[in-house]
Amino acid sequence: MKKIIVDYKKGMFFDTLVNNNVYGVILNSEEYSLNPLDGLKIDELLNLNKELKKYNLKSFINVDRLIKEEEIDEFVSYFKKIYDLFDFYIYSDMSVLTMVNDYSKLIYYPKTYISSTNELKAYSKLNIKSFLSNELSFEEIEDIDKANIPYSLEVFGFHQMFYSKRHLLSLYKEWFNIETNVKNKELFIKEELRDEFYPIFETDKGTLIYTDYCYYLFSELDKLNNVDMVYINSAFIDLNTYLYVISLYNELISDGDTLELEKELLSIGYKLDKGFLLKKSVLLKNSGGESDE
Amino acid sequence: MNKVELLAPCGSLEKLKIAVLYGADAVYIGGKKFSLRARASNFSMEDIKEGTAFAHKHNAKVFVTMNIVPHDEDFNGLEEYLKELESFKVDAIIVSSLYIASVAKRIAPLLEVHLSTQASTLNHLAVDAYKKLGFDRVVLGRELSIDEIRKLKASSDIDLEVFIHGGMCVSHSGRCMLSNHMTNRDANRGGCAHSCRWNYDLYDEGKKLNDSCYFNIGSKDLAAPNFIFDLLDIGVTSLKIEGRMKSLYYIATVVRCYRNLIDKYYEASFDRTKIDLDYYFEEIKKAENRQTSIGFFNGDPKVTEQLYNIRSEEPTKDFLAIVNSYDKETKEAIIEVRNYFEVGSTIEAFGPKLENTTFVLTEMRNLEGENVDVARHPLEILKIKIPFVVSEFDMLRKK
Repeated sequence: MKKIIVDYKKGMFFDTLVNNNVYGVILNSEEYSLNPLDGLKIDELLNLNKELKKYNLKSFINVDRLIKEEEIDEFVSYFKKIYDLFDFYIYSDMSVLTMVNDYSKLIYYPKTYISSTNELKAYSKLNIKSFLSNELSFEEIEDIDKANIPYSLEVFGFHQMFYSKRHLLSLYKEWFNIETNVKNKELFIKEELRDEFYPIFETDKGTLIYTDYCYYLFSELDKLNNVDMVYINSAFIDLNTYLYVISLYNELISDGDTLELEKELLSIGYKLDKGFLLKKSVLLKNSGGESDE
Repeated sequence: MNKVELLAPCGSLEKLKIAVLYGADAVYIGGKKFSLRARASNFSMEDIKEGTAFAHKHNAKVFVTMNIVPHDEDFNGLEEYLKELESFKVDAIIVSSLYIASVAKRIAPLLEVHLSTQASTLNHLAVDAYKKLGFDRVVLGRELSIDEIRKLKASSDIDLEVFIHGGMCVSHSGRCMLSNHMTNRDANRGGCAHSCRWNYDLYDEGKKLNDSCYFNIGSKDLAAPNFIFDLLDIGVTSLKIEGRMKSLYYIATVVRCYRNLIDKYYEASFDRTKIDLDYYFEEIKKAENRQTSIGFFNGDPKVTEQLYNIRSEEPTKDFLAIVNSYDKETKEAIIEVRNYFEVGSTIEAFGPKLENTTFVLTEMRNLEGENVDVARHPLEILKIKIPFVVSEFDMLRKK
């Protein structure tokens, strides 16, 4: 049975989640998660963790951002406070491996790196659970699925497609004397030759750019046998819509009418797209790269 | 004292030879498979073999990049490839995939395994984790300040490699999907379309915020002559130059510049206050056609590290020719032309063992012995008079 995991959003009632067979709730650390909204201070995390247990919901703490050397001591202290209290830890900085003994509680979500059966196996051998990359076609996901190794998938939400440590909006504001506040606020960028408006968001942690559409993997879910957890991402989605989407995924997983449910999903009022599911990206296009090895 | 390694990028066998001769202690190259920088990755297996033999003959090492984020279809021939690299005595592979690293350790144990900067490793605990996973060296992410690198190095006992020069991903390396989402070209598999250097408009609730100028997110390239001595004090293992796509001339100029600077550090009479860093920046500028800055070395980048008002980047045409041979009796050099010049031009010659030396071109002939006034055909072989001794692989540039 595929397990639904969701973000905690303020105003959310846990009994609604229980009624929708949600398996667990992701609590986004204000300091250490990349989620630009709904970040929680440590006291809030600890209180919510207790609440979740009352509802028999699993608690996932999200500390998925990269940690610089100047921050590592504070991160270690922070991690010590939360370690062993939560059911699962979503991370992408490998420092986490040095801070835990039991890797089975770890869920690796670097967004891009787990793109093959072999890579999934490599982490599985370490007893680490992984989210598959958001850059895979459905055909590729199906191939990975055949390996009989449990994996997790982000099945809904605006996908983060850029993550920089630089404060790109603040720097631009300074350079061009823009008066508008640009921090902790959803702005949009549009490339000069394209029509899409991409959400851009700057926090103290850096700058994130998201897809202009809300990704959905829905009817395809039936064909995948080894998905362990399916994550419904809440970023930039209002609470009511989010709860509705959760209910649709619950019905889907509970053998509801796939086509009808997908129709309902497509009418939620957000621009939806299947992302890379139906378009395989290009390997080794004859082009230069920017700046790596 | 362990001397630091100067590590240079090479997109071809010719560039490999130039990098080694101009002072690189090690070079990194890409094969036809498993490597980012598709256009740069033009080493056949024969080239890798020949390049490795050449580098070893000159006491330099060869690292082969296998730094793609692989999909299932990319693994064909992996084990054979690794075994072949090992049989060529390649010194190391650079990878971001944990799986490829583990296969290399099992199949080709003589190859060192270096963790690519694509893994964005930014703290000593992450370095420790990768060490425990079997990596021999970690290429650090480029978001670290000098102070952070110092602290990280003090807490780590594994070889560390730091970028000192070249292009910078504005995103955390390995985490960018802009190119893939916008053009269907996967940056993490060598298809980067440079979307971070495009022009954008910035909107707030439907209102355009940029009036006079596009919103840009790209960063200037890194140039760190002024941080080299700090990095040497810290004791990192390797200083890396980016740019497998760069020209022969660029490689020669930049490698020679950093070689010279590093060698100064190890001289008994070294006094950093007496080093004229402006000279090194000027030297680099002769081959650099992009704006440069200090990246994160002084902490979080400021506006001066960002690339606004992006201009077109035309390749520099200062590189005039490369020397094939020199006849001391006739004082005549056989050269291969790269860019336009003419009799009467003032030319600067430089080379691995040749200080910058200027002369005025007085005489030029083709191989048939006919006088030529103008060199206008790239790769044409000509004979020119040079009043001082030059050697094979020395270069001529505009003065």
